[in-house]
Amino acid sequence: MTEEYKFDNSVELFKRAVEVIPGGIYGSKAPGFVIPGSYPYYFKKGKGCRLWDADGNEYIDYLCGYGSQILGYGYDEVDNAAAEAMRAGDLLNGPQPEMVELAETLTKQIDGMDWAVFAKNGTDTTSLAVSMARVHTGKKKIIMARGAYHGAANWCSTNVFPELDDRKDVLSFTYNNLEELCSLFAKHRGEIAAIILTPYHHPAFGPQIMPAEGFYERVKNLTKAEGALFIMDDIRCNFRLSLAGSHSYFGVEPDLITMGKSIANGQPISVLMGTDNLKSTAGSFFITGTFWMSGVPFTASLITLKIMQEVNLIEHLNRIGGMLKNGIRSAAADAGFKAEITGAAAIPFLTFENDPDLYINQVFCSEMTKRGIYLHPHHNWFISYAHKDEDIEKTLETAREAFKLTAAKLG
Amino acid sequence: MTSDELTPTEQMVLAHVKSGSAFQLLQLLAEEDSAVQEEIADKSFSLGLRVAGGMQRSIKVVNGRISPVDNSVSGSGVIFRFPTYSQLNNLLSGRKSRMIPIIKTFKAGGIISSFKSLTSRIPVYMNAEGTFLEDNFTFITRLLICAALRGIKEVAENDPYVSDRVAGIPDGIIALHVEGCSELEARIKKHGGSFTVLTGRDETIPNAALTFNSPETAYNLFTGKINAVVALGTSDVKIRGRIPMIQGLFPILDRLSFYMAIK
Repeated sequence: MTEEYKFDNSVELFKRAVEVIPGGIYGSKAPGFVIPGSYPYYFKKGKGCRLWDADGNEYIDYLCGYGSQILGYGYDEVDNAAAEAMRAGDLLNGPQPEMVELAETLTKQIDGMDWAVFAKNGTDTTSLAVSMARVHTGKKKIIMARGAYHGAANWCSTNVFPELDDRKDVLSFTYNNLEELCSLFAKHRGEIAAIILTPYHHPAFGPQIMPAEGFYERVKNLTKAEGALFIMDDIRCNFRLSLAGSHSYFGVEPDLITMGKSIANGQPISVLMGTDNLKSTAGSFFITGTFWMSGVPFTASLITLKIMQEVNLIEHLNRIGGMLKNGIRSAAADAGFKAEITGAAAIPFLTFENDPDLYINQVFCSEMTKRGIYLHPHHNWFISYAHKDEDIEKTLETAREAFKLTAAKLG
Repeated sequence: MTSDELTPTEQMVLAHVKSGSAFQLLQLLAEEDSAVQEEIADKSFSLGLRVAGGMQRSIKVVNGRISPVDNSVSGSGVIFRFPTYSQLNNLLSGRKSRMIPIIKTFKAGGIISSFKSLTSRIPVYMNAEGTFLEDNFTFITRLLICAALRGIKEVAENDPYVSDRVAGIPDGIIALHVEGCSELEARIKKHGGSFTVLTGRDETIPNAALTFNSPETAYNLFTGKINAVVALGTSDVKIRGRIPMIQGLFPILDRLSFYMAIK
């Protein structure tokens, strides 16, 4: 039996944090999003697909900095270039040449996109996209799938306070329910500025849902008839389905695309891209932030994009992700569980038959994490280029033990 | 902050919270407190509270048991009719209150006297200290848990400040467990916009569970002696199952704390 990890330092840091930081750790990194007692809260270092927490525990990590580490933590070629750019001087009075180079690279690489503006986080770009759609169409209402995550801005987040009425023009529908979607378009004819969708539905706390046959075609027809824009929020799936953008994987043609997370292998940068007819609207916006033109992330992004092409990233992610999916399913079956792994191979999520409230998932993922395999119980996992065959083999070896422990715990 | 500083809507929510919790506590006291048991032995009556154009609720005393009744004062021998929620809050806070007792039985004097006697037992437990607290620790903790759940129900159903949040909470049952103390189990069920507090053990698997590692943790948390965020982070309080249901309670608990702090 593998020895269970302890998290004393994490807990002590958290107690200190609560004194001076509201909630101790806020947002999606809060202890309540995992299973307190079975997960670390604070981390010290990462290399490849390995991560070390504040207690010195080592993990094979399947969260990858919430997807941002697509090549792996501390990827030397990226980090060396970023460090050199840092030493040369960062955050100068204006943008550095790499900003132009990155925009040129992305407009060549991403299908159907003609321009790019850069920010820091996904929320920056989804919010900008929504604002641009409203200005371009002269309409206010936005449609999104119920349960989809498009960032932490008030228009789309869980900050539901009566004083914040940013959501009053946001309508939602059940993903893949075309009847409901058509009804929304019909009911609000002449009012809809845009629909914002992730490439497929990847909510927390539930199975991932691929677009049904004909879904995107209908979205295209509805938006065209309404004169509304189609925004694809590719922040999370970014470069794990296709290096030409996830819309390319599904063969769809959005008007605006948001990307971030993996685009610079962990360096802070996000991008909003759009079609040529929206360029003048984008140009009419005052877009800025103190750190938005910091040069280091541009350099890191250029190198990351180059390496992703060179190493044939998608093929690697699909193969390794497939190994993990099949291995977990098989290990689960051996212990008497029927595991469902949904989502793309590189972005899987585990659920179990007859376990809608995720009790089995929570026990299994906790047992794995306490034994050095970091699996989030409520959020989809991520595969990176740093995950190799031997990491999956080690993961599956631990999974077999964890499934036995899970079966014993759940009786 | 005093109730006089509240808006009319907040006055309404406060009245629901205070009266709902008080009636819930009386129900439990009838199971354990000898003074309450003695007071209601061989008695059968009903007393109602009604606010003009608003809330009405009552308690029924029959066969040595006390049962709260929501949305009805039917059959009450005495109905306290208040012109405003503010006046009801005054009564529930032990202040002078304007209200009209509507008498429907010649035993009204006895009913009012019994009601005063019963409600006087609530602070005995809720403000308990020393030996009395030690001797009745588990029961007092049970009272605190049930009062909190009842408060959640009242805020969730009545406070427009949290109505959008409440709409986002999935339907289902949340169970509160205390390790090694099965008598402290309680549940709250959400169905649409309604909440129901269920006391006592139930073997069905809830959709989400909140487990305290000891009765002391539960007591300290519900009396504000420990920080709920820390208790969660240290796993003194564990959460399992459909976590968004429990997360959905947090803003309601924040509002409940606001109302509980009103003097």
